[in-house]
Amino acid sequence: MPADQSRVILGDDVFKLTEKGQNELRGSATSLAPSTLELLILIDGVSTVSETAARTRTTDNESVTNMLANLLYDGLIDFVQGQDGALDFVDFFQTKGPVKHSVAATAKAKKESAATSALLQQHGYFVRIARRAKTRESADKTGTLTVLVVEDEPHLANLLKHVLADEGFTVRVAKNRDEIVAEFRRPPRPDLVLLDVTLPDADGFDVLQRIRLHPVLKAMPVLMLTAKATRDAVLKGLAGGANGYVTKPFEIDVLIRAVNVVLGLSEGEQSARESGDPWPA
Amino acid sequence: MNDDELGRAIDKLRADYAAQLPHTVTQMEDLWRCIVAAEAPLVRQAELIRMAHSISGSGTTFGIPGVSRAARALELFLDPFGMSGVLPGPAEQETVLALLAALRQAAVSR
Repeated sequence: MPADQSRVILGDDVFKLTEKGQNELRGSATSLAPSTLELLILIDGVSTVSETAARTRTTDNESVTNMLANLLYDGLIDFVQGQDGALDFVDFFQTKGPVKHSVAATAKAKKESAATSALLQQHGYFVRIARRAKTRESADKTGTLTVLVVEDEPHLANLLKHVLADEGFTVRVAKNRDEIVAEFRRPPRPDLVLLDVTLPDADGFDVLQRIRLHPVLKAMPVLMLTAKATRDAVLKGLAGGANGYVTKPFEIDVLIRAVNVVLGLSEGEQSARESGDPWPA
Repeated sequence: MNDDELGRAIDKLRADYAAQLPHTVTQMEDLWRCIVAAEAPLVRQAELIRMAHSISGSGTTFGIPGVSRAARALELFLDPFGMSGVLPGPAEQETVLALLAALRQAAVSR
Protein backbone atom coordinates (compact mmCIF):
# COMPACT_ATOMS: atom_id res chain seq x y z
CA MET A 1 0.00 0.00 0.00
CA PRO A 2 1.49 3.37 -0.96
CA ALA A 3 2.15 5.81 1.83
CA ASP A 4 -0.60 8.31 2.52
CA GLN A 5 1.49 11.46 2.42
CA SER A 6 -1.47 13.70 3.15
CA ARG A 7 -2.05 12.10 6.55
CA VAL A 8 -1.05 14.09 9.61
CA ILE A 9 1.80 12.43 11.49
CA LEU A 10 0.84 11.77 15.08
CA GLY A 11 2.91 10.93 18.13
CA ASP A 12 1.40 7.46 18.26
CA ASP A 13 2.11 6.63 14.62
CA VAL A 14 4.56 3.86 13.88
CA PHE A 15 6.80 3.80 10.82
CA LYS A 16 8.78 1.11 9.10
CA LEU A 17 11.52 1.29 6.52
CA THR A 18 10.54 0.65 2.92
CA GLU A 19 12.84 -1.36 0.66
CA LYS A 20 14.16 1.95 -0.64
CA GLY A 21 14.84 3.03 2.94
CA GLN A 22 16.68 -0.20 3.70
CA ASN A 23 18.78 0.22 0.57
CA GLU A 24 19.58 3.77 1.64
CA LEU A 25 20.95 2.48 4.92
CA ARG A 26 22.89 -0.34 3.27
CA GLY A 27 24.37 1.88 0.61
CA SER A 28 27.90 3.17 0.87
CA ALA A 29 26.89 6.76 0.22
CA THR A 30 23.90 8.80 1.29
CA SER A 31 22.66 12.29 0.61
CA LEU A 32 20.72 12.42 3.85
CA ALA A 33 21.64 14.88 6.57
CA PRO A 34 23.19 13.22 9.64
CA SER A 35 20.14 13.96 11.82
CA THR A 36 17.79 12.48 9.21
CA LEU A 37 20.04 9.45 8.84
CA GLU A 38 20.03 9.00 12.59
CA LEU A 39 16.22 9.08 12.57
CA LEU A 40 16.10 6.55 9.75
CA ILE A 41 18.31 4.19 11.76
CA LEU A 42 15.99 4.48 14.75
CA ILE A 43 12.86 3.55 12.80
CA ASP A 44 12.12 -0.03 13.74
CA GLY A 45 8.48 -0.64 12.86
CA VAL A 46 7.55 -0.89 16.54
CA SER A 47 8.35 2.41 18.24
CA THR A 48 5.97 5.33 18.00
CA VAL A 49 6.99 8.73 16.69
CA SER A 50 7.11 10.04 20.26
CA GLU A 51 9.30 7.15 21.41
CA THR A 52 11.60 7.55 18.43
CA ALA A 53 11.80 11.30 18.93
CA ALA A 54 12.80 10.78 22.55
CA ARG A 55 15.76 8.69 21.41
CA THR A 56 17.08 11.13 18.88
CA ARG A 57 19.42 13.95 19.66
CA THR A 58 16.91 16.14 17.84
CA THR A 59 14.63 16.62 20.79
CA ASP A 60 12.33 19.01 18.98
CA ASN A 61 9.19 17.01 18.08
CA GLU A 62 8.39 19.36 15.22
CA SER A 63 11.79 18.78 13.62
CA VAL A 64 11.35 15.03 13.94
CA THR A 65 7.88 15.24 12.39
CA ASN A 66 9.22 17.32 9.50
CA MET A 67 12.03 14.86 8.89
CA LEU A 68 9.58 11.98 8.97
CA ALA A 69 7.34 13.80 6.48
CA ASN A 70 10.31 14.19 4.14
CA LEU A 71 11.32 10.55 4.53
CA LEU A 72 7.71 9.56 3.84
CA TYR A 73 7.59 11.82 0.77
CA ASP A 74 10.84 10.30 -0.51
CA GLY A 75 9.42 6.79 -0.06
CA LEU A 76 12.06 5.75 2.49
CA ILE A 77 9.51 4.99 5.19
CA ASP A 78 5.85 4.04 5.39
CA PHE A 79 3.20 3.91 8.07
CA VAL A 80 2.86 0.62 9.87
CA GLN A 81 -0.78 -0.28 9.36
CA GLY A 82 -0.56 -2.72 12.23
CA GLN A 83 0.37 -6.30 12.90
CA ASP A 84 -2.03 -8.92 11.66
CA GLY A 85 -3.33 -6.61 9.02
CA ALA A 86 -5.05 -3.74 10.66
CA LEU A 87 -3.98 -3.06 14.21
CA ASP A 88 -4.13 0.63 14.78
CA PHE A 89 -3.84 2.02 18.28
CA VAL A 90 -3.34 5.65 17.42
CA ASP A 91 -6.47 6.70 19.25
CA PHE A 92 -6.87 3.86 21.72
CA PHE A 93 -6.97 6.20 24.68
CA GLN A 94 -8.34 9.24 22.91
CA THR A 95 -11.83 10.35 23.81
CA LYS A 96 -14.53 8.67 21.79
CA GLY A 97 -17.45 10.05 23.78
CA PRO A 98 -19.64 8.16 26.21
CA VAL A 99 -20.35 4.60 25.25
CA LYS A 100 -23.90 3.38 25.56
CA HIS A 101 -24.41 -0.30 26.16
CA SER A 102 -27.24 -2.00 24.37
CA VAL A 103 -30.50 -2.41 26.26
CA ALA A 104 -30.13 -6.18 26.05
CA ALA A 105 -26.55 -6.11 27.36
CA THR A 106 -27.52 -3.85 30.25
CA ALA A 107 -30.58 -5.93 31.14
CA LYS A 108 -28.56 -9.13 31.03
CA ALA A 109 -25.81 -7.56 33.12
CA LYS A 110 -28.35 -6.30 35.67
CA LYS A 111 -29.77 -9.77 36.04
CA GLU A 112 -26.28 -11.20 36.44
CA SER A 113 -25.10 -8.54 38.87
CA ALA A 114 -28.16 -9.04 41.07
CA ALA A 115 -27.24 -12.68 41.39
CA THR A 116 -23.64 -11.65 41.99
CA SER A 117 -24.68 -9.47 44.91
CA ALA A 118 -26.20 -12.54 46.53
CA LEU A 119 -23.00 -14.45 45.92
CA LEU A 120 -20.94 -11.57 47.30
CA GLN A 121 -22.95 -11.66 50.50
CA GLN A 122 -22.59 -15.41 50.61
CA HIS A 123 -18.88 -15.66 49.83
CA GLY A 124 -17.46 -12.24 50.64
CA TYR A 125 -14.58 -11.45 48.29
CA PHE A 126 -14.34 -14.85 46.79
CA VAL A 127 -16.88 -14.52 44.09
CA ARG A 128 -16.17 -14.97 40.44
CA ILE A 129 -18.06 -15.03 37.23
CA ALA A 130 -16.45 -16.87 34.40
CA ARG A 131 -17.97 -17.60 31.05
CA ARG A 132 -16.44 -19.25 28.09
CA ALA A 133 -15.26 -16.68 25.61
CA LYS A 134 -17.02 -16.58 22.27
CA THR A 135 -13.81 -17.00 20.38
CA ARG A 136 -10.60 -18.68 21.22
CA GLU A 137 -7.52 -17.95 19.23
CA SER A 138 -3.87 -18.48 19.67
CA ALA A 139 -1.74 -15.83 18.08
CA ASP A 140 1.43 -17.60 19.11
CA LYS A 141 2.58 -20.04 16.44
CA THR A 142 3.98 -22.35 19.14
CA GLY A 143 0.48 -22.82 20.51
CA THR A 144 1.32 -21.17 23.82
CA LEU A 145 -1.44 -18.88 24.97
CA THR A 146 -0.47 -15.37 25.98
CA VAL A 147 -2.03 -13.62 28.96
CA LEU A 148 -1.65 -9.88 29.36
CA VAL A 149 -1.81 -8.94 33.03
CA VAL A 150 -2.81 -5.31 33.52
CA GLU A 151 -1.87 -4.69 37.13
CA ASP A 152 -0.01 -1.83 38.79
CA GLU A 153 0.69 -3.49 42.16
CA PRO A 154 4.16 -4.91 41.48
CA HIS A 155 4.01 -7.82 43.94
CA LEU A 156 0.64 -8.92 42.65
CA ALA A 157 1.81 -8.59 39.05
CA ASN A 158 4.83 -10.74 39.89
CA LEU A 159 2.72 -13.34 41.62
CA LEU A 160 0.38 -13.54 38.63
CA LYS A 161 3.35 -13.82 36.34
CA HIS A 162 4.71 -16.78 38.28
CA VAL A 163 1.50 -18.72 38.71
CA LEU A 164 0.28 -18.19 35.15
CA ALA A 165 3.68 -19.08 33.72
CA ASP A 166 3.57 -22.22 35.84
CA GLU A 167 0.27 -23.05 34.14
CA GLY A 168 2.03 -22.85 30.79
CA PHE A 169 0.98 -19.38 29.70
CA THR A 170 3.24 -16.74 28.27
CA VAL A 171 2.71 -13.79 30.58
CA ARG A 172 3.18 -10.12 29.82
CA VAL A 173 2.52 -7.30 32.24
CA ALA A 174 1.35 -3.71 31.76
CA LYS A 175 0.91 -1.28 34.60
CA ASN A 176 -0.29 1.90 32.89
CA ARG A 177 -1.81 3.31 29.70
CA ASP A 178 1.40 3.47 27.72
CA GLU A 179 2.31 -0.09 28.57
CA ILE A 180 -1.18 -1.33 27.73
CA VAL A 181 -0.99 0.23 24.28
CA ALA A 182 2.56 -1.05 23.80
CA GLU A 183 1.47 -4.58 24.69
CA PHE A 184 -1.49 -4.50 22.32
CA ARG A 185 0.85 -3.36 19.62
CA ARG A 186 3.37 -6.09 20.30
CA PRO A 187 2.85 -9.47 18.65
CA PRO A 188 1.53 -11.98 19.42
CA ARG A 189 -1.78 -10.46 20.36
CA PRO A 190 -2.79 -11.56 23.89
CA ASP A 191 -5.28 -14.43 24.10
CA LEU A 192 -6.62 -13.08 27.37
CA VAL A 193 -6.42 -9.82 29.29
CA LEU A 194 -6.52 -9.93 33.07
CA LEU A 195 -7.66 -6.42 33.77
CA ASP A 196 -7.37 -4.50 37.02
CA VAL A 197 -9.75 -1.56 37.39
CA THR A 198 -7.85 0.93 39.51
CA LEU A 199 -4.72 1.94 37.62
CA PRO A 200 -2.61 5.05 38.18
CA ASP A 201 -3.58 6.73 34.92
CA ALA A 202 -6.44 4.66 33.58
CA ASP A 203 -9.72 3.10 34.56
CA GLY A 204 -10.03 -0.60 33.77
CA PHE A 205 -13.68 -0.26 32.80
CA ASP A 206 -12.69 2.41 30.32
CA VAL A 207 -9.95 0.13 28.94
CA LEU A 208 -12.54 -2.65 28.62
CA GLN A 209 -14.87 -0.38 26.64
CA ARG A 210 -12.07 0.66 24.36
CA ILE A 211 -11.11 -2.96 23.75
CA ARG A 212 -14.73 -3.76 22.85
CA LEU A 213 -14.84 -0.81 20.46
CA HIS A 214 -11.57 -1.67 18.77
CA PRO A 215 -11.98 -3.33 15.39
CA VAL A 216 -9.24 -5.87 16.01
CA LEU A 217 -9.34 -6.35 19.78
CA LYS A 218 -13.10 -6.40 20.31
CA ALA A 219 -13.40 -10.18 20.62
CA MET A 220 -10.44 -10.52 22.97
CA PRO A 221 -11.42 -12.31 26.21
CA VAL A 222 -11.17 -10.01 29.22
CA LEU A 223 -11.26 -11.16 32.80
CA MET A 224 -11.74 -8.34 35.28
CA LEU A 225 -9.51 -8.78 38.32
CA THR A 226 -10.43 -6.15 40.84
CA ALA A 227 -11.25 -5.25 44.39
CA LYS A 228 -14.23 -3.30 43.05
CA ALA A 229 -16.79 -5.79 44.25
CA THR A 230 -19.95 -3.71 44.50
CA ARG A 231 -23.04 -4.49 42.46
CA ASP A 232 -22.55 -1.35 40.39
CA ALA A 233 -18.97 -2.24 39.63
CA VAL A 234 -19.87 -5.77 38.61
CA LEU A 235 -22.73 -4.41 36.48
CA LYS A 236 -20.34 -2.02 34.80
CA GLY A 237 -17.91 -4.81 34.00
CA LEU A 238 -20.56 -7.16 32.70
CA ALA A 239 -22.42 -4.54 30.66
CA GLY A 240 -19.05 -3.48 29.26
CA GLY A 241 -18.52 -6.98 27.92
CA ALA A 242 -16.15 -8.57 30.44
CA ASN A 243 -15.92 -12.32 29.99
CA GLY A 244 -15.31 -12.90 33.63
CA TYR A 245 -15.03 -11.20 36.98
CA VAL A 246 -12.68 -12.18 39.76
CA THR A 247 -12.69 -10.10 42.88
CA LYS A 248 -9.57 -9.31 44.86
CA PRO A 249 -8.14 -10.51 47.06
CA PHE A 250 -8.33 -13.75 45.16
CA GLU A 251 -7.28 -17.31 45.77
CA ILE A 252 -4.78 -18.49 43.20
CA ASP A 253 -6.74 -21.67 42.45
CA VAL A 254 -9.92 -19.70 41.83
CA LEU A 255 -8.15 -17.33 39.49
CA ILE A 256 -6.51 -20.14 37.50
CA ARG A 257 -9.84 -21.91 37.19
CA ALA A 258 -11.50 -18.73 35.92
CA VAL A 259 -8.70 -18.17 33.39
CA ASN A 260 -9.05 -21.72 32.10
CA VAL A 261 -12.81 -21.47 31.84
CA VAL A 262 -12.71 -18.16 29.98
CA LEU A 263 -10.14 -19.55 27.58
CA GLY A 264 -12.18 -22.71 27.09
CA LEU A 265 -9.38 -24.85 28.51
CA SER A 266 -11.49 -26.49 31.18
CA GLU A 267 -15.07 -27.60 31.57
CA GLY A 268 -16.96 -24.40 32.26
CA GLU A 269 -20.10 -26.02 33.56
CA GLN A 270 -18.25 -28.25 35.95
CA SER A 271 -16.12 -25.39 37.25
CA ALA A 272 -19.16 -23.17 37.52
CA ARG A 273 -21.04 -25.72 39.55
CA GLU A 274 -18.06 -26.26 41.82
CA SER A 275 -17.81 -22.56 42.59
CA GLY A 276 -21.50 -21.81 42.69
CA ASP A 277 -21.21 -19.75 39.53
CA PRO A 278 -24.75 -19.18 38.23
CA TRP A 279 -23.65 -18.44 34.69
CA PRO A 280 -22.19 -21.59 33.19
CA ALA A 281 -20.76 -21.42 29.71
CA MET B 1 9.34 -24.52 37.14
CA ASN B 2 8.37 -27.41 39.42
CA ASP B 3 6.00 -27.14 42.38
CA ASP B 4 8.84 -26.61 44.88
CA GLU B 5 10.35 -23.83 42.82
CA LEU B 6 6.97 -22.18 42.38
CA GLY B 7 6.31 -22.54 46.10
CA ARG B 8 9.63 -20.92 46.91
CA ALA B 9 9.01 -18.11 44.44
CA ILE B 10 5.59 -17.43 45.95
CA ASP B 11 7.03 -17.56 49.48
CA LYS B 12 9.62 -14.99 48.48
CA LEU B 13 6.99 -12.74 46.92
CA ARG B 14 4.92 -13.01 50.09
CA ALA B 15 7.94 -12.14 52.22
CA ASP B 16 8.82 -9.18 49.99
CA TYR B 17 5.25 -7.98 50.07
CA ALA B 18 5.06 -8.23 53.85
CA ALA B 19 8.43 -6.52 54.26
CA GLN B 20 7.42 -3.45 52.23
CA LEU B 21 4.04 -3.02 53.90
CA PRO B 22 5.21 -0.93 56.89
CA HIS B 23 7.03 1.37 54.49
CA THR B 24 3.89 1.75 52.39
CA VAL B 25 1.84 2.52 55.49
CA THR B 26 4.42 5.16 56.46
CA GLN B 27 3.98 6.74 53.02
CA MET B 28 0.23 6.75 53.56
CA GLU B 29 0.57 8.32 57.00
CA ASP B 30 2.91 10.99 55.62
CA LEU B 31 0.59 11.71 52.73
CA TRP B 32 -2.39 12.03 55.06
CA ARG B 33 -0.45 14.36 57.35
CA CYS B 34 0.49 16.55 54.38
CA ILE B 35 -3.08 16.65 53.08
CA VAL B 36 -4.47 17.67 56.47
CA ALA B 37 -1.76 20.32 56.87
CA ALA B 38 -2.53 21.58 53.34
CA GLU B 39 1.07 20.82 52.36
CA ALA B 40 -0.27 18.49 49.68
CA PRO B 41 -3.23 19.26 47.42
CA LEU B 42 -6.54 17.75 48.42
CA VAL B 43 -6.70 15.84 45.14
CA ARG B 44 -3.97 13.61 46.52
CA GLN B 45 -6.59 12.12 48.80
CA ALA B 46 -7.42 9.98 45.77
CA GLU B 47 -3.85 8.67 45.85
CA LEU B 48 -4.26 7.67 49.47
CA ILE B 49 -7.53 5.90 48.65
CA ARG B 50 -5.84 4.13 45.75
CA MET B 51 -3.03 2.93 48.05
CA ALA B 52 -5.59 1.61 50.52
CA HIS B 53 -7.48 -0.03 47.67
CA SER B 54 -4.32 -1.69 46.43
CA ILE B 55 -3.50 -3.17 49.85
CA SER B 56 -7.13 -4.17 50.34
CA GLY B 57 -7.02 -6.12 47.10
CA SER B 58 -3.69 -7.82 47.67
CA GLY B 59 -3.18 -8.47 51.40
CA THR B 60 -5.22 -11.64 51.65
CA THR B 61 -3.73 -13.06 48.47
CA PHE B 62 -0.33 -12.70 50.13
CA GLY B 63 -1.57 -14.37 53.29
CA ILE B 64 -2.24 -11.26 55.39
CA PRO B 65 -6.04 -10.97 55.59
CA GLY B 66 -5.90 -8.53 58.52
CA VAL B 67 -4.13 -6.03 56.32
CA SER B 68 -6.77 -6.40 53.61
CA ARG B 69 -9.53 -5.81 56.14
CA ALA B 70 -7.84 -2.77 57.70
CA ALA B 71 -7.07 -1.23 54.32
CA ARG B 72 -10.60 -1.91 53.13
CA ALA B 73 -12.01 -0.11 56.18
CA LEU B 74 -9.84 2.91 55.43
CA GLU B 75 -10.75 2.87 51.76
CA LEU B 76 -14.48 2.67 52.49
CA PHE B 77 -14.28 5.47 55.02
CA LEU B 78 -12.33 7.82 52.75
CA ASP B 79 -14.12 7.00 49.51
CA PRO B 80 -17.10 9.39 49.98
CA PHE B 81 -14.72 12.25 50.81
CA GLY B 82 -12.58 11.42 47.81
CA MET B 83 -15.60 11.33 45.50
CA SER B 84 -16.95 14.63 46.75
CA GLY B 85 -13.49 16.21 46.87
CA VAL B 86 -13.75 17.43 50.44
CA LEU B 87 -11.44 17.05 53.39
CA PRO B 88 -12.90 15.07 56.28
CA GLY B 89 -13.79 17.21 59.29
CA PRO B 90 -11.80 17.12 62.56
CA ALA B 91 -13.77 14.21 64.02
CA GLU B 92 -13.47 12.21 60.81
CA GLN B 93 -9.77 13.00 60.67
CA GLU B 94 -9.42 11.29 64.04
CA THR B 95 -11.13 8.26 62.55
CA VAL B 96 -8.72 8.28 59.61
CA LEU B 97 -5.79 8.36 62.03
CA ALA B 98 -7.30 5.44 63.95
CA LEU B 99 -7.82 3.48 60.73
CA LEU B 100 -4.24 4.19 59.67
CA ALA B 101 -3.03 3.04 63.08
CA ALA B 102 -5.05 -0.15 62.70
CA LEU B 103 -3.53 -0.68 59.28
CA ARG B 104 -0.03 -0.21 60.69
CA GLN B 105 -0.80 -2.63 63.49
CA ALA B 106 -2.01 -5.23 60.96
CA ALA B 107 1.06 -4.65 58.80
CA VAL B 108 3.60 -5.13 61.57
CA SER B 109 1.88 -7.86 63.58
CA ARG B 110 1.21 -10.23 60.67
